[in-house]
Amino acid sequence: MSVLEAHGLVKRYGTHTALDGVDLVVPEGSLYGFLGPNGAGKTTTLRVAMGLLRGNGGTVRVLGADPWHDGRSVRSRIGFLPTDPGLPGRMRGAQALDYFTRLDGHPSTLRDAACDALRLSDTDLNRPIRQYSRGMRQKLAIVQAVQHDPRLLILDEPTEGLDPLVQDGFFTFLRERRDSGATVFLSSHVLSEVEALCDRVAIIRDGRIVDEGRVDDLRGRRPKRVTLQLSETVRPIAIVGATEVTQLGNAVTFDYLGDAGTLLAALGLLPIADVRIEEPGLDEIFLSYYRSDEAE
Amino acid sequence: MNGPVIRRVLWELRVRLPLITLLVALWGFALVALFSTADDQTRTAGLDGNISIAFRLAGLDPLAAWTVLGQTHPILLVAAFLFIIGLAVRAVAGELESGSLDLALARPISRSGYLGSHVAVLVPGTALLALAYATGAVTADRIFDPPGLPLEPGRMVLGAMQAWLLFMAVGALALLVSTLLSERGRALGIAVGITLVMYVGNFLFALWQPLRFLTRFTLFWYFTPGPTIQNGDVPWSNCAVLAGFTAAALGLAFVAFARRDLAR
Repeated sequence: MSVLEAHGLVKRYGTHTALDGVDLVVPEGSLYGFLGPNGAGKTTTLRVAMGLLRGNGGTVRVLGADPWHDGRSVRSRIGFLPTDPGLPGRMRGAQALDYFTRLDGHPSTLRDAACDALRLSDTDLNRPIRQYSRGMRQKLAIVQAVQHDPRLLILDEPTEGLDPLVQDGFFTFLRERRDSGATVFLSSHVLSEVEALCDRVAIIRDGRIVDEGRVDDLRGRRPKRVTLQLSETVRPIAIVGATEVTQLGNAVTFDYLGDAGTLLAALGLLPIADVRIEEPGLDEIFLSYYRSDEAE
Repeated sequence: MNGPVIRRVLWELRVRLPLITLLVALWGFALVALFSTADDQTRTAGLDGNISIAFRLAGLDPLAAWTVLGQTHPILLVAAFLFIIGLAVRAVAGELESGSLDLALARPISRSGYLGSHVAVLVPGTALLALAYATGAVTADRIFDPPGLPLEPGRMVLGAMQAWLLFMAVGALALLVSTLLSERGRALGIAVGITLVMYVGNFLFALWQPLRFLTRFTLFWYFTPGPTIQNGDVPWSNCAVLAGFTAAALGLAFVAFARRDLAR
Protein backbone atom coordinates (compact mmCIF):
# COMPACT_ATOMS: atom_id res chain seq x y z
CA MET A 1 0.00 0.00 0.00
CA SER A 2 1.28 3.47 -0.86
CA VAL A 3 0.96 6.63 1.19
CA LEU A 4 1.94 9.01 -1.56
CA GLU A 5 1.28 8.58 -5.26
CA ALA A 6 1.87 10.91 -8.15
CA HIS A 7 1.05 10.08 -11.73
CA GLY A 8 2.03 12.32 -14.61
CA LEU A 9 2.33 15.26 -12.24
CA VAL A 10 2.98 18.53 -14.04
CA LYS A 11 3.71 21.89 -12.47
CA ARG A 12 4.50 25.04 -14.41
CA TYR A 13 5.57 28.47 -13.19
CA GLY A 14 4.67 30.66 -16.13
CA THR A 15 6.64 29.29 -19.07
CA HIS A 16 9.01 27.27 -16.85
CA THR A 17 8.04 23.63 -16.37
CA ALA A 18 9.18 22.58 -12.90
CA LEU A 19 7.58 19.12 -12.95
CA ASP A 20 7.18 17.39 -16.27
CA GLY A 21 5.14 14.25 -15.65
CA VAL A 22 6.42 12.99 -12.31
CA ASP A 23 5.46 9.41 -11.47
CA LEU A 24 6.12 8.42 -7.89
CA VAL A 25 4.83 5.77 -5.50
CA VAL A 26 5.99 5.90 -1.89
CA PRO A 27 5.19 2.60 -0.12
CA GLU A 28 3.85 2.64 3.41
CA GLY A 29 6.44 1.96 6.08
CA SER A 30 9.41 2.90 3.94
CA LEU A 31 12.25 5.34 4.27
CA TYR A 32 12.09 6.93 0.85
CA GLY A 33 14.77 9.25 -0.47
CA PHE A 34 14.08 11.82 -3.13
CA LEU A 35 17.31 12.79 -4.84
CA GLY A 36 18.16 15.61 -7.14
CA PRO A 37 20.29 18.71 -7.37
CA ASN A 38 18.95 22.17 -6.63
CA GLY A 39 16.23 23.15 -9.07
CA ALA A 40 15.43 19.59 -10.19
CA GLY A 41 11.89 19.72 -8.78
CA LYS A 42 12.19 18.13 -5.34
CA THR A 43 10.75 21.00 -3.32
CA THR A 44 7.99 21.62 -5.87
CA THR A 45 6.95 17.96 -5.66
CA LEU A 46 6.85 18.10 -1.86
CA ARG A 47 4.88 21.36 -1.85
CA VAL A 48 2.33 19.92 -4.27
CA ALA A 49 2.04 16.89 -1.98
CA MET A 50 1.35 19.24 0.94
CA GLY A 51 -1.32 21.17 -0.96
CA LEU A 52 0.73 24.38 -0.92
CA LEU A 53 0.99 24.30 -4.71
CA ARG A 54 -1.57 23.12 -7.22
CA GLY A 55 -0.43 20.82 -10.01
CA ASN A 56 -1.22 21.80 -13.61
CA GLY A 57 -1.67 18.21 -14.73
CA GLY A 58 -1.64 14.63 -13.55
CA THR A 59 -2.77 13.41 -10.16
CA VAL A 60 -1.32 13.27 -6.69
CA ARG A 61 -2.78 11.52 -3.67
CA VAL A 62 -1.43 11.61 -0.15
CA LEU A 63 -2.85 9.13 2.39
CA GLY A 64 -5.61 8.55 -0.13
CA ALA A 65 -6.67 12.18 -0.42
CA ASP A 66 -6.12 14.88 -3.02
CA PRO A 67 -3.91 17.32 -1.09
CA TRP A 68 -5.26 20.40 -2.88
CA HIS A 69 -8.96 19.69 -2.36
CA ASP A 70 -9.08 17.41 0.67
CA GLY A 71 -5.68 17.98 2.25
CA ARG A 72 -7.08 19.32 5.50
CA SER A 73 -8.58 15.94 6.33
CA VAL A 74 -5.23 14.15 6.19
CA ARG A 75 -2.77 16.82 7.29
CA SER A 76 -3.19 15.92 10.95
CA ARG A 77 -1.49 12.62 10.07
CA ILE A 78 1.40 14.29 8.22
CA GLY A 79 4.51 15.91 9.60
CA PHE A 80 6.08 18.46 7.27
CA LEU A 81 9.48 20.11 7.33
CA PRO A 82 9.83 22.75 4.61
CA THR A 83 13.07 24.33 3.49
CA ASP A 84 13.90 27.46 5.52
CA PRO A 85 11.07 26.95 7.99
CA GLY A 86 9.88 30.20 9.54
CA LEU A 87 9.66 29.64 13.26
CA PRO A 88 8.10 32.39 15.39
CA GLY A 89 11.28 34.16 16.50
CA ARG A 90 9.76 35.98 19.46
CA MET A 91 8.57 32.74 21.05
CA ARG A 92 10.66 30.40 23.13
CA GLY A 93 11.32 26.99 21.62
CA ALA A 94 8.91 25.13 23.93
CA GLN A 95 6.27 27.80 23.42
CA ALA A 96 6.49 27.38 19.64
CA LEU A 97 6.20 23.60 19.95
CA ASP A 98 3.10 24.04 22.14
CA TYR A 99 1.62 26.33 19.49
CA PHE A 100 2.17 23.72 16.77
CA THR A 101 0.71 21.03 19.03
CA ARG A 102 -2.47 23.09 19.39
CA LEU A 103 -2.60 23.51 15.62
CA ASP A 104 -2.12 19.76 15.11
CA GLY A 105 -4.88 18.90 17.51
CA HIS A 106 -2.88 15.87 18.65
CA PRO A 107 -0.77 15.41 21.78
CA SER A 108 2.96 15.76 21.23
CA THR A 109 3.79 12.21 22.27
CA LEU A 110 7.15 12.13 20.50
CA ARG A 111 8.49 15.52 21.54
CA ASP A 112 10.81 14.25 24.25
CA ALA A 113 12.15 11.39 22.11
CA ALA A 114 12.77 13.73 19.17
CA CYS A 115 14.48 16.32 21.39
CA ASP A 116 16.70 13.60 22.85
CA ALA A 117 17.61 12.29 19.40
CA LEU A 118 18.45 15.81 18.20
CA ARG A 119 20.19 16.82 21.43
CA LEU A 120 17.81 19.67 22.09
CA SER A 121 17.83 20.31 25.83
CA ASP A 122 15.23 21.93 28.09
CA THR A 123 17.59 24.89 28.41
CA ASP A 124 17.58 25.26 24.63
CA LEU A 125 13.79 25.02 24.52
CA ASN A 126 13.47 27.80 27.10
CA ARG A 127 15.44 30.28 25.03
CA PRO A 128 13.84 32.67 22.52
CA ILE A 129 14.07 31.25 19.01
CA ARG A 130 15.63 34.44 17.66
CA GLN A 131 18.72 33.55 19.72
CA TYR A 132 19.01 30.12 18.08
CA SER A 133 21.78 29.19 15.66
CA ARG A 134 20.84 27.82 12.24
CA GLY A 135 21.36 24.25 13.40
CA MET A 136 19.20 24.80 16.50
CA ARG A 137 16.40 26.22 14.38
CA GLN A 138 16.59 23.20 12.11
CA LYS A 139 16.40 20.87 15.11
CA LEU A 140 13.34 22.69 16.44
CA ALA A 141 11.74 22.63 12.98
CA ILE A 142 12.29 18.86 12.82
CA VAL A 143 10.72 18.40 16.27
CA GLN A 144 7.62 20.37 15.24
CA ALA A 145 7.26 18.03 12.26
CA VAL A 146 7.56 14.78 14.20
CA GLN A 147 6.27 15.52 17.72
CA HIS A 148 2.66 14.49 17.04
CA ASP A 149 3.72 11.02 15.79
CA PRO A 150 2.51 11.46 12.20
CA ARG A 151 1.88 8.51 9.91
CA LEU A 152 3.74 10.21 7.07
CA LEU A 153 6.77 12.46 7.42
CA ILE A 154 7.58 14.73 4.50
CA LEU A 155 10.99 16.30 5.07
CA ASP A 156 12.64 18.72 2.68
CA GLU A 157 16.43 18.69 3.11
CA PRO A 158 16.15 17.73 6.80
CA THR A 159 19.87 17.51 7.56
CA GLU A 160 20.66 21.07 6.46
CA GLY A 161 22.60 22.66 9.30
CA LEU A 162 22.85 19.51 11.47
CA ASP A 163 26.28 18.41 12.62
CA PRO A 164 27.31 14.76 11.94
CA LEU A 165 26.75 13.65 15.53
CA VAL A 166 23.20 14.98 15.58
CA GLN A 167 22.59 13.56 12.10
CA ASP A 168 23.42 10.12 13.41
CA GLY A 169 20.89 10.38 16.23
CA PHE A 170 18.33 11.80 13.83
CA PHE A 171 18.80 8.91 11.39
CA THR A 172 18.33 6.42 14.23
CA PHE A 173 15.15 8.22 15.22
CA LEU A 174 13.85 8.05 11.62
CA ARG A 175 14.62 4.34 11.41
CA GLU A 176 12.66 3.81 14.63
CA ARG A 177 9.74 5.72 13.15
CA ARG A 178 9.90 3.53 10.06
CA ASP A 179 10.05 0.39 12.22
CA SER A 180 6.96 1.52 14.11
CA GLY A 181 5.03 1.77 10.83
CA ALA A 182 5.45 5.40 9.83
CA THR A 183 6.63 6.40 6.37
CA VAL A 184 9.44 8.88 5.84
CA PHE A 185 9.71 10.71 2.52
CA LEU A 186 12.72 12.97 2.47
CA SER A 187 14.41 15.01 -0.18
CA SER A 188 18.12 15.56 -0.28
CA HIS A 189 21.02 16.36 -2.50
CA VAL A 190 23.46 14.69 -0.10
CA LEU A 191 23.84 11.24 -1.63
CA SER A 192 25.75 9.61 1.21
CA GLU A 193 23.01 10.32 3.76
CA VAL A 194 20.29 8.96 1.50
CA GLU A 195 22.37 5.86 0.79
CA ALA A 196 22.95 5.33 4.52
CA LEU A 197 19.35 5.88 5.49
CA CYS A 198 16.85 5.05 2.79
CA ASP A 199 15.29 1.79 1.59
CA ARG A 200 14.15 3.23 -1.70
CA VAL A 201 15.08 6.25 -3.73
CA ALA A 202 13.80 8.21 -6.67
CA ILE A 203 16.11 10.40 -8.71
CA ILE A 204 14.61 13.49 -10.27
CA ARG A 205 16.19 15.45 -13.08
CA ASP A 206 14.64 18.46 -14.80
CA GLY A 207 11.23 17.67 -13.35
CA ARG A 208 11.22 14.01 -14.37
CA ILE A 209 11.91 10.83 -12.41
CA VAL A 210 14.86 9.21 -14.15
CA ASP A 211 15.27 6.23 -11.84
CA GLU A 212 13.41 4.72 -8.92
CA GLY A 213 13.62 1.63 -6.80
CA ARG A 214 15.35 -0.05 -3.88
CA VAL A 215 18.88 1.19 -3.39
CA ASP A 216 20.22 -2.35 -3.93
CA ASP A 217 18.22 -2.76 -7.13
CA LEU A 218 19.51 0.55 -8.42
CA ARG A 219 23.05 -0.61 -7.78
CA GLY A 220 22.28 -3.88 -9.59
CA ARG A 221 21.14 -1.99 -12.65
CA ARG A 222 24.43 -0.14 -12.94
CA PRO A 223 27.82 -1.65 -13.99
CA LYS A 224 30.06 -3.10 -11.30
CA ARG A 225 33.64 -1.89 -11.20
CA VAL A 226 36.07 -4.82 -11.64
CA THR A 227 39.78 -4.48 -10.81
CA LEU A 228 42.15 -7.34 -11.66
CA GLN A 229 45.77 -7.88 -10.77
CA LEU A 230 47.18 -10.51 -13.14
CA SER A 231 50.11 -12.78 -12.31
CA GLU A 232 51.47 -12.41 -15.86
CA THR A 233 50.98 -10.08 -18.76
CA VAL A 234 48.37 -11.24 -21.25
CA ARG A 235 47.12 -9.85 -24.53
CA PRO A 236 44.23 -7.36 -24.26
CA ILE A 237 41.29 -9.14 -22.68
CA ALA A 238 37.76 -9.21 -24.10
CA ILE A 239 34.82 -10.08 -21.82
CA VAL A 240 31.23 -9.79 -23.03
CA GLY A 241 29.53 -7.04 -21.01
CA ALA A 242 32.77 -5.28 -20.10
CA THR A 243 33.12 -1.60 -20.91
CA GLU A 244 35.59 1.15 -20.12
CA VAL A 245 38.43 -1.41 -20.16
CA THR A 246 41.82 -0.09 -19.05
CA GLN A 247 44.87 -2.37 -19.10
CA LEU A 248 48.18 -1.13 -17.78
CA GLY A 249 50.71 -3.94 -17.56
CA ASN A 250 49.29 -6.56 -15.21
CA ALA A 251 46.58 -4.24 -13.86
CA VAL A 252 43.18 -4.32 -15.56
CA THR A 253 40.04 -2.37 -14.68
CA PHE A 254 36.67 -2.40 -16.40
CA ASP A 255 32.96 -1.85 -15.78
CA TYR A 256 30.78 -4.92 -16.03
CA LEU A 257 27.03 -5.18 -16.47
CA GLY A 258 25.66 -8.66 -16.89
CA ASP A 259 25.40 -12.10 -15.39
CA ALA A 260 27.83 -12.82 -12.52
CA GLY A 261 28.35 -16.42 -13.69
CA THR A 262 29.49 -15.29 -17.12
CA LEU A 263 31.95 -12.87 -15.50
CA LEU A 264 33.37 -15.52 -13.17
CA ALA A 265 33.70 -17.99 -16.06
CA ALA A 266 35.60 -15.40 -18.10
CA LEU A 267 37.84 -14.52 -15.13
CA GLY A 268 38.59 -18.23 -14.62
CA LEU A 269 40.46 -18.23 -17.93
CA LEU A 270 42.82 -15.49 -16.78
CA PRO A 271 45.96 -15.76 -14.58
CA ILE A 272 44.50 -13.76 -11.70
CA ALA A 273 46.60 -12.81 -8.67
CA ASP A 274 43.93 -10.59 -7.09
CA VAL A 275 40.42 -9.41 -7.92
CA ARG A 276 38.09 -6.73 -6.57
CA ILE A 277 34.45 -6.33 -7.67
CA GLU A 278 32.73 -3.18 -6.38
CA GLU A 279 29.05 -2.24 -6.39
CA PRO A 280 28.49 1.27 -7.70
CA GLY A 281 27.71 3.80 -4.97
CA LEU A 282 24.55 5.88 -5.08
CA ASP A 283 26.71 8.85 -5.94
CA GLU A 284 27.95 7.10 -9.08
CA ILE A 285 24.42 6.13 -10.08
CA PHE A 286 23.25 9.67 -9.48
CA LEU A 287 26.14 11.28 -11.28
CA SER A 288 25.72 8.98 -14.28
CA TYR A 289 22.37 10.64 -14.99
CA TYR A 290 23.82 14.07 -14.71
CA ARG A 291 26.92 13.27 -16.74
CA SER A 292 24.70 12.00 -19.55
CA ASP A 293 22.72 15.22 -19.26
CA GLU A 294 25.89 17.28 -19.67
CA ALA A 295 26.98 15.11 -22.60
CA GLU A 296 23.67 15.83 -24.34
CA MET B 1 -11.23 30.70 12.21
CA ASN B 2 -8.62 28.97 14.28
CA GLY B 3 -8.16 29.62 17.99
CA PRO B 4 -4.43 28.93 18.22
CA VAL B 5 -3.68 31.19 15.24
CA ILE B 6 -5.79 34.01 16.74
CA ARG B 7 -4.03 33.62 20.09
CA ARG B 8 -0.61 33.62 18.43
CA VAL B 9 -1.34 36.80 16.43
CA LEU B 10 -2.70 38.51 19.56
CA TRP B 11 0.36 37.36 21.52
CA GLU B 12 2.63 38.90 18.88
CA LEU B 13 0.63 42.15 19.18
CA ARG B 14 0.75 42.14 22.97
CA VAL B 15 2.95 45.24 23.03
CA ARG B 16 2.16 47.00 19.77
CA LEU B 17 -1.65 46.95 20.00
CA PRO B 18 -1.89 48.37 23.56
CA LEU B 19 0.82 50.90 22.69
CA ILE B 20 -0.84 52.23 19.54
CA THR B 21 -4.23 52.21 21.31
CA LEU B 22 -2.76 54.24 24.17
CA LEU B 23 -1.13 56.69 21.75
CA VAL B 24 -4.39 57.21 19.87
CA ALA B 25 -6.26 57.70 23.17
CA LEU B 26 -3.60 60.18 24.29
CA TRP B 27 -4.00 62.03 21.00
CA GLY B 28 -7.73 62.47 21.66
CA PHE B 29 -7.08 63.39 25.27
CA ALA B 30 -4.32 65.88 24.42
CA LEU B 31 -6.35 67.63 21.75
CA VAL B 32 -9.28 68.32 24.08
CA ALA B 33 -6.89 69.29 26.89
CA LEU B 34 -5.15 71.70 24.49
CA PHE B 35 -8.49 73.15 23.43
CA SER B 36 -9.43 73.73 27.04
CA THR B 37 -6.09 75.24 27.99
CA ALA B 38 -5.85 77.49 24.94
CA ASP B 39 -9.34 78.83 25.50
CA ASP B 40 -8.67 79.34 29.23
CA GLN B 41 -5.65 81.51 28.49
CA THR B 42 -7.48 83.74 26.04
CA ARG B 43 -10.55 83.94 28.32
CA THR B 44 -8.47 85.17 31.26
CA ALA B 45 -7.48 88.06 29.02
CA GLY B 46 -11.20 88.90 28.72
CA LEU B 47 -11.50 87.43 25.22
CA ASP B 48 -13.41 84.51 23.82
CA GLY B 49 -11.15 81.52 23.06
CA ASN B 50 -9.22 81.82 19.79
CA ILE B 51 -10.13 78.32 18.71
CA SER B 52 -13.75 78.83 19.61
CA ILE B 53 -13.95 82.06 17.64
CA ALA B 54 -12.63 80.40 14.53
CA PHE B 55 -15.14 77.57 14.65
CA ARG B 56 -18.07 79.75 15.66
CA LEU B 57 -17.41 81.92 12.63
CA ALA B 58 -17.87 78.77 10.56
CA GLY B 59 -21.13 78.04 12.38
CA LEU B 60 -19.75 74.99 14.16
CA ASP B 61 -19.79 73.83 17.76
CA PRO B 62 -16.15 74.62 18.64
CA LEU B 63 -15.23 71.56 20.74
CA ALA B 64 -17.03 69.10 18.45
CA ALA B 65 -15.37 70.61 15.38
CA TRP B 66 -11.99 70.51 17.09
CA THR B 67 -12.54 66.86 17.91
CA VAL B 68 -13.48 66.08 14.30
CA LEU B 69 -10.31 67.80 13.17
CA GLY B 70 -8.32 65.54 15.46
CA GLN B 71 -10.07 62.44 14.20
CA THR B 72 -9.33 63.20 10.56
CA HIS B 73 -5.82 64.55 11.22
CA PRO B 74 -2.99 62.96 9.19
CA ILE B 75 -1.01 62.20 12.37
CA LEU B 76 -3.77 59.96 13.69
CA LEU B 77 -4.47 58.41 10.30
CA VAL B 78 -0.81 57.70 9.53
CA ALA B 79 -0.27 56.04 12.91
CA ALA B 80 -3.42 53.95 12.61
CA PHE B 81 -2.84 52.97 8.98
CA LEU B 82 0.76 51.96 9.51
CA PHE B 83 -0.36 49.61 12.27
CA ILE B 84 -3.33 48.26 10.34
CA ILE B 85 -1.55 47.84 7.01
CA GLY B 86 1.44 46.26 8.73
CA LEU B 87 -0.84 43.76 10.44
CA ALA B 88 -2.74 42.90 7.27
CA VAL B 89 0.33 42.64 5.05
CA ARG B 90 2.01 40.30 7.47
CA ALA B 91 -0.96 37.92 7.47
CA VAL B 92 -0.10 36.23 4.17
CA ALA B 93 2.76 37.88 2.24
CA GLY B 94 4.83 38.39 5.40
CA GLU B 95 4.28 34.90 6.75
CA LEU B 96 4.84 33.33 3.34
CA GLU B 97 8.12 35.18 2.96
CA SER B 98 9.29 34.24 6.45
CA GLY B 99 8.28 30.60 6.00
CA SER B 100 5.87 30.47 8.93
CA LEU B 101 2.85 30.10 6.64
CA ASP B 102 4.18 26.72 5.45
CA LEU B 103 4.30 25.45 9.01
CA ALA B 104 0.77 26.63 9.80
CA LEU B 105 -0.83 25.33 6.60
CA ALA B 106 0.89 21.96 7.01
CA ARG B 107 -1.62 21.47 9.82
CA PRO B 108 -5.32 20.56 9.56
CA ILE B 109 -6.29 24.19 8.98
CA SER B 110 -8.13 25.45 5.93
CA ARG B 111 -6.80 28.52 4.18
CA SER B 112 -10.08 30.33 4.81
CA GLY B 113 -9.79 29.42 8.49
CA TYR B 114 -6.26 30.78 8.59
CA LEU B 115 -7.19 34.04 6.87
CA GLY B 116 -10.35 34.28 8.95
CA SER B 117 -8.19 34.16 12.07
CA HIS B 118 -6.29 37.22 10.92
CA VAL B 119 -9.56 38.99 10.09
CA ALA B 120 -10.80 38.04 13.55
CA VAL B 121 -7.88 40.00 15.01
CA LEU B 122 -8.15 42.88 12.53
CA VAL B 123 -11.83 43.58 13.29
CA PRO B 124 -11.56 44.18 17.07
CA GLY B 125 -8.07 45.66 16.69
CA THR B 126 -9.31 48.43 14.38
CA ALA B 127 -12.41 48.93 16.54
CA LEU B 128 -10.18 49.40 19.57
CA LEU B 129 -8.15 52.06 17.76
CA ALA B 130 -11.27 53.90 16.64
CA LEU B 131 -12.79 53.82 20.12
CA ALA B 132 -9.50 54.85 21.75
CA TYR B 133 -9.66 58.30 20.20
CA ALA B 134 -13.25 58.83 21.31
CA THR B 135 -12.45 57.57 24.81
CA GLY B 136 -9.45 59.88 25.14
CA ALA B 137 -11.39 62.90 23.92
CA VAL B 138 -14.43 62.29 26.14
CA THR B 139 -12.23 61.61 29.18
CA ALA B 140 -10.39 64.91 28.71
CA ASP B 141 -13.73 66.68 28.20
CA ARG B 142 -14.97 65.34 31.55
CA ILE B 143 -11.72 66.26 33.35
CA PHE B 144 -11.10 69.75 31.92
CA ASP B 145 -14.73 70.67 31.27
CA PRO B 146 -13.99 73.22 28.53
CA PRO B 147 -16.57 75.98 27.89
CA GLY B 148 -19.44 75.34 25.50
CA LEU B 149 -21.37 72.18 24.86
CA PRO B 150 -19.80 68.98 26.21
CA LEU B 151 -18.90 66.12 23.88
CA GLU B 152 -21.72 63.63 23.64
CA PRO B 153 -20.38 60.08 24.14
CA GLY B 154 -23.07 58.62 21.89
CA ARG B 155 -22.08 60.85 18.99
CA MET B 156 -18.40 60.13 19.64
CA VAL B 157 -19.10 56.40 19.45
CA LEU B 158 -20.93 56.87 16.16
CA GLY B 159 -17.97 58.91 14.91
CA ALA B 160 -15.67 56.12 16.06
CA MET B 161 -17.81 53.66 14.12
CA GLN B 162 -17.08 55.62 10.93
CA ALA B 163 -13.36 55.66 11.72
CA TRP B 164 -13.59 51.92 12.30
CA LEU B 165 -15.25 51.43 8.90
CA LEU B 166 -12.44 53.41 7.25
CA PHE B 167 -9.79 51.46 9.15
CA MET B 168 -11.41 48.17 8.16
CA ALA B 169 -11.66 49.25 4.50
CA VAL B 170 -7.93 50.06 4.41
CA GLY B 171 -7.15 46.87 6.36
CA ALA B 172 -9.19 44.77 3.93
CA LEU B 173 -7.44 46.39 0.98
CA ALA B 174 -4.04 45.63 2.53
CA LEU B 175 -5.14 42.06 3.27
CA LEU B 176 -6.18 41.61 -0.36
CA VAL B 177 -2.79 42.89 -1.54
CA SER B 178 -1.14 40.55 0.97
CA THR B 179 -2.99 37.51 -0.37
CA LEU B 180 -1.89 38.31 -3.92
CA LEU B 181 1.83 38.74 -3.25
CA SER B 182 4.67 36.76 -1.73
CA GLU B 183 7.00 39.49 -0.48
CA ARG B 184 6.15 41.54 2.56
CA GLY B 185 8.03 44.65 1.43
CA ARG B 186 6.32 44.73 -1.94
CA ALA B 187 2.89 44.19 -0.42
CA LEU B 188 3.55 46.91 2.15
CA GLY B 189 4.70 49.34 -0.52
CA ILE B 190 1.67 48.73 -2.73
CA ALA B 191 -0.86 48.92 0.13
CA VAL B 192 0.70 52.09 1.56
CA GLY B 193 0.96 53.57 -1.95
CA ILE B 194 -2.71 52.98 -2.77
CA THR B 195 -3.80 54.43 0.59
CA LEU B 196 -1.56 57.46 0.16
CA VAL B 197 -2.79 58.13 -3.38
CA MET B 198 -6.40 57.94 -2.15
CA TYR B 199 -5.69 60.27 0.79
CA VAL B 200 -3.83 62.88 -1.25
CA GLY B 201 -6.17 62.46 -4.19
CA ASN B 202 -9.18 63.19 -1.99
CA PHE B 203 -7.77 66.70 -1.41
CA LEU B 204 -6.17 67.37 -4.78
CA PHE B 205 -9.06 66.18 -6.94
CA ALA B 206 -11.41 68.39 -4.94
CA LEU B 207 -9.38 71.47 -5.91
CA TRP B 208 -10.11 71.22 -9.63
CA GLN B 209 -13.67 70.95 -10.87
CA PRO B 210 -13.01 68.63 -13.87
CA LEU B 211 -11.36 66.06 -11.58
CA ARG B 212 -13.64 66.50 -8.61
CA PHE B 213 -15.67 63.38 -9.52
CA LEU B 214 -12.54 61.32 -8.83
CA THR B 215 -12.80 62.06 -5.10
CA ARG B 216 -15.67 59.56 -5.03
CA PHE B 217 -13.19 56.86 -5.96
CA THR B 218 -11.20 57.38 -2.78
CA LEU B 219 -12.19 55.78 0.51
CA PHE B 220 -11.59 59.05 2.34
CA TRP B 221 -14.42 60.80 0.53
CA TYR B 222 -16.78 58.51 2.43
CA PHE B 223 -15.21 59.22 5.80
CA THR B 224 -17.30 62.12 7.13
CA PRO B 225 -17.55 62.02 10.92
CA GLY B 226 -18.15 65.80 11.13
CA PRO B 227 -21.96 65.87 10.95
CA THR B 228 -22.15 62.94 13.37
CA ILE B 229 -20.00 64.47 16.12
CA GLN B 230 -21.50 67.92 15.53
CA ASN B 231 -25.19 67.03 15.25
CA GLY B 232 -25.57 63.29 15.62
CA ASP B 233 -26.36 62.85 11.90
CA VAL B 234 -24.87 59.65 10.59
CA PRO B 235 -24.19 59.55 6.82
CA TRP B 236 -25.39 55.97 6.47
CA SER B 237 -24.86 55.86 2.71
CA ASN B 238 -21.16 56.66 3.21
CA CYS B 239 -20.97 54.01 5.91
CA ALA B 240 -22.57 51.53 3.54
CA VAL B 241 -19.98 52.29 0.85
CA LEU B 242 -17.10 51.72 3.29
CA ALA B 243 -18.70 48.53 4.62
CA GLY B 244 -19.42 47.32 1.07
CA PHE B 245 -15.84 47.98 0.00
CA THR B 246 -14.56 46.10 3.05
CA ALA B 247 -16.83 43.13 2.36
CA ALA B 248 -15.83 43.03 -1.32
CA ALA B 249 -12.09 43.31 -0.58
CA LEU B 250 -12.28 40.61 2.11
CA GLY B 251 -14.31 38.37 -0.21
CA LEU B 252 -11.73 38.75 -2.96
CA ALA B 253 -8.93 38.12 -0.46
CA PHE B 254 -10.53 34.84 0.65
CA VAL B 255 -11.05 33.71 -2.96
CA ALA B 256 -7.51 34.72 -4.02
CA PHE B 257 -5.90 33.04 -1.03
CA ALA B 258 -7.83 29.81 -1.49
CA ARG B 259 -6.76 29.55 -5.13
CA ARG B 260 -3.21 30.76 -5.13
CA ASP B 261 0.03 28.81 -5.18
CA LEU B 262 2.18 29.28 -2.11
CA ALA B 263 5.57 29.15 -3.80
CA ARG B 264 8.77 30.28 -2.14
